[in-house]
Amino acid sequence: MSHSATEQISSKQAWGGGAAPYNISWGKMMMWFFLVSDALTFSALLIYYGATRNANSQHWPDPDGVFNHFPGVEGHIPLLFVSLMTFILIMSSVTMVLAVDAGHRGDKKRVILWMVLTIVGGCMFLGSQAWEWTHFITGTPHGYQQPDGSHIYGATMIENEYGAKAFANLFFTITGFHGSHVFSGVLINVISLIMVIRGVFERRGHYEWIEKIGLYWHFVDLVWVFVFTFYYLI
Amino acid sequence: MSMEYDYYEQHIHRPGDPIAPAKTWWIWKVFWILLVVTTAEVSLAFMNYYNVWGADKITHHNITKWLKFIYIALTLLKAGYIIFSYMHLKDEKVSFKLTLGFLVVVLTYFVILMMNEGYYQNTIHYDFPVFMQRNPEGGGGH
Repeated sequence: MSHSATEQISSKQAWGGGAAPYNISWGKMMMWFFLVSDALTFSALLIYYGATRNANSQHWPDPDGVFNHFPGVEGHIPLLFVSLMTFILIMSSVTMVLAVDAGHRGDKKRVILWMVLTIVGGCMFLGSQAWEWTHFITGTPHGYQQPDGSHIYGATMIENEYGAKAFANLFFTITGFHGSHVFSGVLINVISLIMVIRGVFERRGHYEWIEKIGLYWHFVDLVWVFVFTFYYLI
Repeated sequence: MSMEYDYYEQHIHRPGDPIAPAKTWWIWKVFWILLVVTTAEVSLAFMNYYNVWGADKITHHNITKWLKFIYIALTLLKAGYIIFSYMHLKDEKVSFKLTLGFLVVVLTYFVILMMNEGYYQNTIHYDFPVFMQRNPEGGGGH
């Protein structure tokens, strides 16, 4: 041990720049660490959701009975619309990983194609979420009759037709926070697409930037997988 | 003894270099797994919502309870495919996987802690009715 402590080693061998103990570029590693911190934020929100639901289980509405509409279709269809949203997001994750793969091979045309489709998927998801929020805020025609005879229609941050107030608060907070991630992801994707088209990465010689934003985009999909399970299924 | 580190070097691809053919079968394989698992989850939820098994109220309640564990297991399966395959974590070094994986340990503890806390908050409605009258509805009510 004392031998190695007195030995002279170059800065490349020590952690002095140039050496990568994880064999990963610093940019990608920092993206991973950012995603870990973001995962903690989402975990805190979802765990608080679970605790609040346990604390108010008598008032908690059945999500299947709340989110039960599909655009252009009369009647109650539980889960179908949110399943479609999940499908859209998984699909945009596939196009993103295809863009990353094309970037690995330096195939600029394919990167552009898959990036455009990813952006389209993200926009479709945001549109679906806007529709879902509108449906939730508008509520049902019959509403909920309170003990004093007045009615509550739909859900806001201060009252909720369907049941526990916390259900509406957490719905807006969690899906809103996730939606803002999708929105910023779409913006970053658009900026990156412009950079790809202008040949920035072609000149740089590699498409690692696409890998980094791909990590972010998959993380957003990953969060939705959990939101879908804990908010809509359970 | 000198310590060996790995050196990260980005592969440089110049314009005009030959483009390797795409090998994307694994992407579509994972896509189909994700789709099938999601469809299974939604189908189970549909069947339970309409109670296709014709269970009585108590049995239906128990089925709903056990389905939650199935949903969570399938969700973790999907998360594993997204993280290890799509986010390429399986190609990283073991030390890096462990660095990120420590998060799971912390979160598991946090989940158990907070679920218990939630159950406890639910029971104090009955244990301390006078105290709880300050806020009789808690987070509940309409």
